[in-house]
Amino acid sequence: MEAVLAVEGLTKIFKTKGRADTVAVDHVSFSLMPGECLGIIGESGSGKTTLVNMVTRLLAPTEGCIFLDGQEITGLKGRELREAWRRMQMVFQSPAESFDPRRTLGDGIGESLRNAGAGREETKRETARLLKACGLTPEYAGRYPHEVSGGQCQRAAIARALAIKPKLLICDEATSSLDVTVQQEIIELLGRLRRKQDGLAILFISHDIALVQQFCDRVLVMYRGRIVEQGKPDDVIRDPQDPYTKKLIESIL
Amino acid sequence: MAEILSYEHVTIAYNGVPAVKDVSFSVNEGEILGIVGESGSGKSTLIRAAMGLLGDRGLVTRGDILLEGRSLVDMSPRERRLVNGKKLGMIFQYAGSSFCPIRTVEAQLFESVRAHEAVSREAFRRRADELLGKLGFANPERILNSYPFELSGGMQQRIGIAAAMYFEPGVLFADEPTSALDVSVQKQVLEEMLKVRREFGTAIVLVTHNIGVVGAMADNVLVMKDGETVEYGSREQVLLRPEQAYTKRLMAAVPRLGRA
Amino acid sequence: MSEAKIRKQKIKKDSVKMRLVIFGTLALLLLLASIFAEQLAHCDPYLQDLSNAKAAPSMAHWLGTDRYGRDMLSRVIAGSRTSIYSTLLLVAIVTVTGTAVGTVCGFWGGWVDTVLMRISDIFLAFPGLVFAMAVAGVLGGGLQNAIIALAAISWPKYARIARSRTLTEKEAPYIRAARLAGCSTPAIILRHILPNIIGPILVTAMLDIGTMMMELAGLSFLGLGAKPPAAEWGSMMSDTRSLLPTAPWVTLSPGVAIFISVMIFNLLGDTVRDWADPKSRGR
Repeated sequence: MEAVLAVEGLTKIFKTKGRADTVAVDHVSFSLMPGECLGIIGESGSGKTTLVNMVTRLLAPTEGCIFLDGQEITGLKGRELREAWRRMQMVFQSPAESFDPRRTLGDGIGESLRNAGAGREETKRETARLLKACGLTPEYAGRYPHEVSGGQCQRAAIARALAIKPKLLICDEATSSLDVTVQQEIIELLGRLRRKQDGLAILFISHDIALVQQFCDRVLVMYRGRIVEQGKPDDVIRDPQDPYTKKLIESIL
Repeated sequence: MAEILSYEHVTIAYNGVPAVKDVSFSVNEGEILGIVGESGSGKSTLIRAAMGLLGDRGLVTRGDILLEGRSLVDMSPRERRLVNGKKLGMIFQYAGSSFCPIRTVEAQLFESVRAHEAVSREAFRRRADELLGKLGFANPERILNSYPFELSGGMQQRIGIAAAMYFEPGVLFADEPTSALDVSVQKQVLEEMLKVRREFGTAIVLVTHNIGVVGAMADNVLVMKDGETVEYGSREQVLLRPEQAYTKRLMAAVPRLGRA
Repeated sequence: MSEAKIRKQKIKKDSVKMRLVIFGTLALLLLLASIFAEQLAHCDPYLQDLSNAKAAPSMAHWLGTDRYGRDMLSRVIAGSRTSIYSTLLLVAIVTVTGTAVGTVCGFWGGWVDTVLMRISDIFLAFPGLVFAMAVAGVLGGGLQNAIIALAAISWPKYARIARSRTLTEKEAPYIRAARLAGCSTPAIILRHILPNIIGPILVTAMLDIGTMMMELAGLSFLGLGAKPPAAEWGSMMSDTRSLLPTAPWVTLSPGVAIFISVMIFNLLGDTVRDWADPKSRGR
């Protein structure tokens, strides 16, 4: 089986005049199989956000390659890059800010479909179906981001991400701005969608190890731009090898 | 132990819309009370009311908040200046943003102390050194001379705690003190607060959405939802044997690390 | 425990909407007056009647007549057309130019940004009226050239606002989401960035209407804008300023007209700003 996402030796060095270069991500390699859920754990400054920005091609890597579905996407531009984005979608940390404040949720969800050439009626039907699949009613298509709660908005964001049936879903701290009871609902929703859409791979970025243990098949621990430990969450948590991982797990209350 | 702070049937409204409804509790000297709830539950409003920080649209419309038997609600601005800082300390979620970035920690602490008390630079310095030493800072000298941006988020928060303890207030309010911090740093800040209680016998009112923090710190726990009290009791009772459906749901939703 | 104390809370009402309606209506009336200037003016503003020159305000001539016996009320109304139209045209030109330049600079950055922003710096470096005089000197006087001169020195302000707003907006998560949804760059700018940055720009434009009106009138007063006998408030004032001691109504009527219009547009601009800022709206 071919990996949905493979990253080889990915590195990002930020150069600032008059200061030493910052190595935000340092030769990171990993791969993600269809249907797999891979967690990336790290605290602030560990480089996990920079890593995601490179994988989604919003930031150019200094070194290394990214393969999506077997195709190298590291140097893609314009139309080809937009084609690649149809196979990878993202759910952001702040649900309300991830929707255009002056457009309805329905507009946001249907945008990728319209860009892919779907007609008006088709987009409307599909948006309604997606909203239902994510536990909302079709009426939410007419609401604005500030009119709904954080949890409802994140459901809509998941609906938007799944609209063009991507192979890879990236969740960047997708539940950390939500209340715990809402977080639980969103995690349950993601689990349900994963079972329903066969082969959907999830890259789950979080700072909450307990949550990753609940949700992911495999976990990478990042520290200062490098992967310091990886394995099954249960194994990593019970028997951490790296001193940083040990300290991290000890400090959980 | 004597009661130091009490909320009696407190209702707080913003521009006529109630945010907190009929909440009562009391805190003894040296007690740590954890107030937990999700966003919009009114938990932060409770401590803002005690500090007089409701703004001109917010008001305690019913009930009273008493500090050592004196009403904090009907206090004149003049009395308020004597109470805030000296008898009531407060720490915020982002200690870093309450520091001015272009002045040293010492200069800022000195200024805020001078607002309450005529004190010489030398006397202040002695007291600050002693206080930071007592609270377990390894190198008080270096910290006082640094600029806020030279310190990590956890260190800024610990200094915020130390600054709030300068006058040894009887009550320390903490509004989400660790929510902006990484878990490995969170622990240091919590230990700092426990040290404050050990050293000074300060009562701490800890507002947070993090159940783990409350479990590690609090003696008593108050659970709030939509401005109302859901459950109030000892930590063991509320966290381990919750009676209300909402508390049970809240506890079940917290992801717990499976170590075994 | 004793009975709980009860305190009465004063509830603040949000008056922004009310103010918006009032000043919006006033501004609309002003616009209507300038559109229907010909119908409203009961005398021909250019009809001379030397036998009735410098007449004091009366029932026949509410604001009196000027030194050629022309009805002042009609002239002020006719002048509103020139003054308000040219001001709105000027504001529209600078808003569109400034926003377009600023958005492009903010979005692309790099050398495009550097070149365009340095050009705007050059224009900002000229003192406004002096530059206008220079333009008038090169291109000759006249309302059209006054508008060109003022537009040239006013657009950089809008470009700066648009640029800084674009810089913040383009990093927002929803722009990244739009990219992932497959939107092309022009689509992102037109569909997502522009609607979100236009608010503060329009507010600035509203607030600028008053200032621009003053500046245009000022240029006309200096003889660099509209030329007599065209009815334009600034040139009317300049034209008749020698009459101030003997027939003050002739000079004061266009002055008061400028004052009232500028005030209405300024108050409207202030209100729109409050309305556009969600923080000032009630929770």
